[in-house]
Amino acid sequence: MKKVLFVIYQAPAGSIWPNEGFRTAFGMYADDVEPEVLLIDQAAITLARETEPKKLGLLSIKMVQKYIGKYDTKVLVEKESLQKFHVTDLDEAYQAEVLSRAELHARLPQYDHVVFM
Amino acid sequence: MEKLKITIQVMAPPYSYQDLDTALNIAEAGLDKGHDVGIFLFADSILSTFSRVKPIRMDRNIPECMKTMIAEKGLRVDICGICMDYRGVSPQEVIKGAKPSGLPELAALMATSDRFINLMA
Repeated sequence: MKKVLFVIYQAPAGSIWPNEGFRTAFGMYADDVEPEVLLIDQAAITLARETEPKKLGLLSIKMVQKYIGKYDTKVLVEKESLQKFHVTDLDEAYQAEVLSRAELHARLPQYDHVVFM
Repeated sequence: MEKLKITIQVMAPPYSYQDLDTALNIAEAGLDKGHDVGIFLFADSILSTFSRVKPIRMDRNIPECMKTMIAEKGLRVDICGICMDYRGVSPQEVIKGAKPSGLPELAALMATSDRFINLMA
């Protein structure tokens, strides 16, 4: 089974990519692929409890939580990105693991593909 | 030389970014060397298959380039069907040979490709 890391780096409001990144990752369960999702830079804001683009009339991001729970999808977030955007109150429904940049560097070789979205 | 299965995923819109041009150049080089090459179009990149695209005369016509490469070199082109629906593009409006597809097909391509290239502006 191939392991694929989907790296999302754009904001959860103002871009479609946090939603599309999760949606694409969930699509991998159709085949012999194990997806994980990593949020870096502005995308780390996705995990804040108060982040919900639906408040602005945009597509909900919280809806992905249902599928994270259903598939038990691994979600990672870079610690330095959380600090950069002062994200301290994480929504536990994302089940995110916080990793430092150095820890992420060490982790990357385990993936067959790394896909930036 | 070992024949490789190569998949290139593109996300960025044609004519705003040049990822599609990069993808086609890589695809052509791979096909010319005898590899099995496919492009998976996601999000706004699907507009590159719209048959009524009409750039100015001196510019390249990306849908036409893709159509020629499909017909003459065997390029495979998959288009995310939900992305097409979101942008109001029907299967009748895309170039001949490009195939409406989806995430299960993308997952299969990731599982079976020897090389997977992801272009994101």
